[in-house]
Amino acid sequence: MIDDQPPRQTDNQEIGRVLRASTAGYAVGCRVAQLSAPSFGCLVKAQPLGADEAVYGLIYDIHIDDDPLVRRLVLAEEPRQAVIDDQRENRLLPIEMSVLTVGYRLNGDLYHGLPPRPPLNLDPVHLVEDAAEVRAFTDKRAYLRLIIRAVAQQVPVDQLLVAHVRQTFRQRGDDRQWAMKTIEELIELLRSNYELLVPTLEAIDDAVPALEVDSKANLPV
Amino acid sequence: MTLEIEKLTADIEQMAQGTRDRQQERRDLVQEALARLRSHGTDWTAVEAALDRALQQVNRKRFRAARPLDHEEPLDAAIDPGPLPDTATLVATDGSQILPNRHASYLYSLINIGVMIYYHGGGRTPRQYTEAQLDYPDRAAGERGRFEENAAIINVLRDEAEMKVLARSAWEQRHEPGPTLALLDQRLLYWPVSAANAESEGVRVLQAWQQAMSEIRACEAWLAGYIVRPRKDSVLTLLASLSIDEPDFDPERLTGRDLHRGLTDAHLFAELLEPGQRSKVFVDISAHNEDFAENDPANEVCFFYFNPGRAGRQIARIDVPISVAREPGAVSAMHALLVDQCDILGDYPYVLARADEIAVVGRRDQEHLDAFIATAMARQGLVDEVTAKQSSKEIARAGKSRHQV
Repeated sequence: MIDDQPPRQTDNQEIGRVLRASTAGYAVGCRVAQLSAPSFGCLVKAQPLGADEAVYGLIYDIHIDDDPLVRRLVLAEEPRQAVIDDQRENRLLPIEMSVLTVGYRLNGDLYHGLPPRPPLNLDPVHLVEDAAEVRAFTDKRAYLRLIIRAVAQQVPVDQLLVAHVRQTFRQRGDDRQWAMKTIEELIELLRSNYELLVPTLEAIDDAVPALEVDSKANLPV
Repeated sequence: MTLEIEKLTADIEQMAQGTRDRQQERRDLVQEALARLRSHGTDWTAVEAALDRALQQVNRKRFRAARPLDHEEPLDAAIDPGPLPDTATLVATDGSQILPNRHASYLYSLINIGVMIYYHGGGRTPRQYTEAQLDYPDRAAGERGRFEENAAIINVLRDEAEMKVLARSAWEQRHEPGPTLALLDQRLLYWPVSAANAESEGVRVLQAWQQAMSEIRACEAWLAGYIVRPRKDSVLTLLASLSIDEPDFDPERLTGRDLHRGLTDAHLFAELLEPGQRSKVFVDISAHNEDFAENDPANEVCFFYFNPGRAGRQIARIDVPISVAREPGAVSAMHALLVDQCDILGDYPYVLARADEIAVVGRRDQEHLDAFIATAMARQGLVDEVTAKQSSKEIARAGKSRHQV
């Protein structure tokens, strides 16, 4: 359990609503207009309005479906702007985000583990942008285990870890200490899985050069 | 039991052969009609005389033909689109309905009208909205039975709602720059098809329809009905009328059902019109149109044919009131706007396609509505059940799906 005060919900932007869910993750449906803020690796939470419970997760897939009308418009030589705007702003084009559950809040306390029950259909999903909330959730790193065990669920774990480290590093105000401790934790957790560890460290080095990660030097012998 | 298609193989083969034979016959008839259209292309005296003679000699109630609106272009004209207006507003409506189902838990009907507004040349995002009307039997004795019997009239009421909402939407756009084009996806010469016990309702809807046509004119919008795969044969009847003075010609043949042996005007104009082109404008000759003109002379219905496809020959018919047909530049600008709209999807106006899309009440929408109604009823302490027949249908047609999150 991680002690924390519930953050103000107004600090976080709503990005959609829960379509379907399990304890391990949930799918979020959103409109095109809502798609500008969330991105791969973002920390989000499903939380009914006014509720003290929330299920936290990381976006690991964004899926945009087509439909027959879109397929016909694609065949046009150059779709005009009014039609593109109509498709994006007026039509209910199905956009779906997949979220991997990494923790939850219950009675004001944060936990890094699977929630006792999944969020419900149509629960609003918010991007966790509030710096204090990001800090509270990521100060401890037990949630990394939930990411690593998702290899079996066809989650692109290495890329998800990289995106998460890069985004959280910035959200925490270029917190180098947090990032280095996170990398140490990853090395510890993945010490028996070089196939995942090495590309992850190399990708973190590429994505956040300020950290100067030496993937070879950090590896355990 | 699923459909055993192999048992239909012989019938399907026969059907294909029959279609091929008819197409060959149709090609010959089209060439014959085309030759006549061309040879009388500007023979206005003969055309007018033939139509006048026909109207004198045949049963006018059953005579349906076409009269050229003017003598500017020949009968066989294939007209390219004029210049596009810099700005224009296109308003389209379409409707769908849920008919009362006596096997369902609660008896109701629904009409849903989709409205699409497209701002040509304005750089603005199109607007869309829907208007839904729920109807249900009241508590009066026998009301439930009457409601079930009147299911057939829901389609007529939907047509009325489409036209009324179109008139109102066109009015709301009256301050927009450029012309306003108000589009429906059906004929303007409306004929309500309703049950015998609802004739008075049909008459009322017909009056409301014509009133809405007048209202659209009053807000200076151009009204048009866009008909895909039209079955009218009025121009062919005009051509057949040219033989009225031949010795063996029986004028009553002009009102016969099989005068053109399945050929329609669309077959003729498919030979004539290249993609994007239109025919000249004709006035519909029919007793029904005379009624329209009597009610409001400006509502007399005219039409032209149009090839909307980039490369195809699928002819559409565009109905317009005579007030629009006679307005200088209106048909030309409307033609250009329709070509522009059809360019978006290839062969059908985008604004109509979208109005149809938002109007449709799908199976899922209906399920949600049923659930809302059941919840509201439950709050009133009312619980009803679907009939056993409905229940078994739902099971049989539910389809198969995996159990998954």
